[in-house]
Amino acid sequence: MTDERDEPQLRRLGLEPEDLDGHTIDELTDYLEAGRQPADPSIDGSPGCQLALDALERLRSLTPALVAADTADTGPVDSSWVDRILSGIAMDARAGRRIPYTADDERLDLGITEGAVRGLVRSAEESFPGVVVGRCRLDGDVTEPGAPVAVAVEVSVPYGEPLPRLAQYLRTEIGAQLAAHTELNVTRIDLTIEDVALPSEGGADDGAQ
Amino acid sequence: MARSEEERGLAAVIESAVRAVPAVTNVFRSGSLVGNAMAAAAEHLGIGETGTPLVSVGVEDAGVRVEVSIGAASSAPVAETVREVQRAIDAAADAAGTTVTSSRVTVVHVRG
Repeated sequence: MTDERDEPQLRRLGLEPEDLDGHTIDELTDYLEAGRQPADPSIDGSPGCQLALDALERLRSLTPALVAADTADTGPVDSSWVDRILSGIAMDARAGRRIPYTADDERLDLGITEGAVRGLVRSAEESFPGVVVGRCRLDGDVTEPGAPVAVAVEVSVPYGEPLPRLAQYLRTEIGAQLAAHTELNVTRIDLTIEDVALPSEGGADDGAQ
Repeated sequence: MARSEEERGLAAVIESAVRAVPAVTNVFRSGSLVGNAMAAAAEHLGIGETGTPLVSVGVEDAGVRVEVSIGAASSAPVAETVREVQRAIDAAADAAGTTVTSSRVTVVHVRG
């Protein structure tokens, strides 16, 4: 669980100790590596931990190829890149604002957290091998039904793909996820390509030559 | 923070109904952050309620207030899942002989 030594690390990632219900990113990484066994109810019952675990799991599936590529071709892994990815995961773990669903009955108050929506955006990673989503921001009054919302996403993409086409593909994926699962009035999806991951010499399974 | 037997029983029934909705992947503890932290601490120290339902229920004269936080599967539109959860809550309350006066359902996690 979080102690005083962990707090500066959490805050560097934009997290408060309560966002992960007292756990740390390191603890969650260990839990993931242990196959989520033995089951820890305090992690399994925490939405923030679940959102962070989802992101860490996807990142873990990509990391060997990305880290191998970075170390083989450009020396040590770029810590700022890792920080950006981790801060994106940290932001996912924050519940953030509550985004309403329309209800035709005034007794009802239905909604989804901003953190869960950021997790949806991040899941666009799964649609294209080698893509990693970093920070994701929802700009606009998401608490007001119908208000225009702009989505800003930072991504790392694999080397060798035509960037305009890949960016358009990811925009379409993100837009489809948001349209399928939210009632947000998304007026814009801004994608910033922060990194292009070079192919590893070990022949990572990313299709690069 | 102690709940009445009636609230506890109804919360358990509603939680069970919510979990039975096909696209619900999990039910998380509802309520304020501070309240949850105090409940967790009390439970840890052995002075709080253990195994309490995760759904929050408040009994009033006119019926019950319900608050629930869920995880949803992305295999179904989440907005539909939320409405299905609401119907399950209404049905469970109805079967228990009461009425839902207000209900707050929040999706806190979506599983791919």
